[in-house]
Amino acid sequence: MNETPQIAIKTQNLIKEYDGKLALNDLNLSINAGDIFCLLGANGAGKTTTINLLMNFIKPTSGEAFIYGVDVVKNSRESKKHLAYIPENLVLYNELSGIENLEYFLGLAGLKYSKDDLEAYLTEAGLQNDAFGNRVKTYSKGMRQKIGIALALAKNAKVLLLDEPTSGLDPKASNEFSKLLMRLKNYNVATLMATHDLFRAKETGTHIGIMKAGNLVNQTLTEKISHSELEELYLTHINN
Amino acid sequence: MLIQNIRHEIRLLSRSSWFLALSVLFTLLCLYAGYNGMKLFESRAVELEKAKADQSALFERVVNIAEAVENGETPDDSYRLSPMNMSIATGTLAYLQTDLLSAVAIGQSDLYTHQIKVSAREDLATLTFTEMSNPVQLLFGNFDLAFVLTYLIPLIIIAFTYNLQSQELESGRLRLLASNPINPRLWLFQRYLTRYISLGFILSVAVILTLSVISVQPSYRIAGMLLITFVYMVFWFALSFVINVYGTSSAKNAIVLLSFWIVLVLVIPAVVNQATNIIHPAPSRVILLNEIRETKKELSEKQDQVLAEYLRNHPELVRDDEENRFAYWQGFFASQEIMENQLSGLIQEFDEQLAEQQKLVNTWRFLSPSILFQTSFTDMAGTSTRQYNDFKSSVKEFTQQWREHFLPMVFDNRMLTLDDLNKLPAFEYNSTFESKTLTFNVLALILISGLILMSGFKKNHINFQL
Repeated sequence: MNETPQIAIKTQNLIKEYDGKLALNDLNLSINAGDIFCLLGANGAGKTTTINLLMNFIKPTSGEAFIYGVDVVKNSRESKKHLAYIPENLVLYNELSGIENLEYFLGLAGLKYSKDDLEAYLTEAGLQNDAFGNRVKTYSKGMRQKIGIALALAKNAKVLLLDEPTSGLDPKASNEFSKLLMRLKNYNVATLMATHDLFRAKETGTHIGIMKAGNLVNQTLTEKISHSELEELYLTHINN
Repeated sequence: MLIQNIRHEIRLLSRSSWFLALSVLFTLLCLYAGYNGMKLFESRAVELEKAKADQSALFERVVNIAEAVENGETPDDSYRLSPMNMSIATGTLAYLQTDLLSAVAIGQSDLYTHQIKVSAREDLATLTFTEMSNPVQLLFGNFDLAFVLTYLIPLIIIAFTYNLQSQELESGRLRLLASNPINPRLWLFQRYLTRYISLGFILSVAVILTLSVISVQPSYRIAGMLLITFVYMVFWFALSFVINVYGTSSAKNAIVLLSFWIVLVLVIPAVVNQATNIIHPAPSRVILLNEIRETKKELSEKQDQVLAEYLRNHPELVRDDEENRFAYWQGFFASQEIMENQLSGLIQEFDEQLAEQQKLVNTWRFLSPSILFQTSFTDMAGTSTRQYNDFKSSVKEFTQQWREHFLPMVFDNRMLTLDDLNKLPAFEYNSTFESKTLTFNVLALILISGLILMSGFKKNHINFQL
């Protein structure tokens, strides 16, 4: 008998307005544990606004959002306990090493690991061993994104919110990042990723949503759509 | 989270070359300020020792003459034994003992004299306690430890903290930080706390090093000075915390904090100073001096009448001896008291206005933390205006006592003996000044800082966008 998958991320009639201008309109989203939901859309479509609302960085005008049933506004700190966030540019403390940054951010989440454990997480995230002790100011963007993944792994995050994480990464680094997401998927992590990269969305995602002017105009399963169909669908919605 | 944040901040600071350079610079500034204060203290001490030696030599000379007279000799300069000569030309020295703490806070010590020749000829109203000072130095103040702490510490705190949150916001790191289950306000507060402890530690090292270089021994006064300094720092940290909480960009925060510095450290103290002069203008000293001259002139014109009137009021000084006819000096002493009585209203008005001015400054000191800090700091160092006023009253009282001591001898028209010289009154300054400002000012600064911090914690929403 199949178990009903747990809903990891849920939004109900979520609306966000800025000075009367609609940034997100009545978003109803449901992402299950182990899903990778890729949000596509042009700039200003509402992708980042959705992530900001789920992170409680901004307050919704109306509607609700939940992470594993925990209201992100009413119980923000509780909702963040098993949540990891990787923005387009993961800015860390440049004067600290990768391992020190990881230690600090995990400490903020109330987690304490030995040096060996931290190194193991960095290794799992794909960071080369000789970079662990180097100051982050010497890291490439791809290396910094890997610290974000290590953070998610060590935090045992159940939900991962990614805001254009592969933007600016070279194809190899982008591919490595996708593999890491797949690994997290195997750990039953629910991922919501805002991206412009149709190829990566098709390769990595389990679900694809297309946003336009604050509306989620299309939702589909990745397995049911080919690369060319996805591109056509995307352009159709964007051009309309 | 606190331990985590402390470790993190210390790591960041220890790797910041800017912070390390600032710490060294601050220590050097403290040492230079201490050296400056010490130089002034030493020159004061030398001046005082010289004045004491000169006075002692002068007195010794009179004693030698008295001894010669007692031995039956008639020295040429026996006139020095006359009460007029002794009370006026020889006089005595009133002085304020040098205090090493004045090297830490020069305060009013460069403006007021620490030693004054007490002479029966002096008019109490015109006793001058101020010294000729370098006007440029008076304008800008001395570069002493009090200056470093009053003016520079707030600037260092601003430079050190103006972007503690805004930098995180501008770099985008604030989002990453806030993606953790933390209270961002508490997180920021803990960063401030760590920086406060770090800067406090550097300040303590710099100050203790400076004090040991200038050989100041630890005392409750030093403890008081350190206490008010740490509380003054709390105020500036609290202000920076609130500006970071309500502000957005680092540039704006820096401008707002510097504006606060200008207003609180420079503008308000100057305005309070100006306002006291406008609200309670001191009567012109020129008018006072003119009145004294006029009165003296009038009295000298009717010397006989004055003397007669004076003797009516002081029958104990009346002498029957025809040979000892009263002459100039008796008239002088008599007219001096009458003049002081006649001018007492004006002198009192002068003193009252100065007291009112001081009262007003005391009331308005709450407008600026730097006034609160400086008042207590100089009070503890013993160089505040109020302490010098206390010394002034003590000298005036003694001058009166000195004059009165010689009066019977002047009217007896007799020379002083060795025994008289041994019984001369000596000035001994017992400070009646009590510094009550420390506790009050510390509590006031804590209260103000507490309210500022609370307003920072009151803001619920955090801006994650510039």
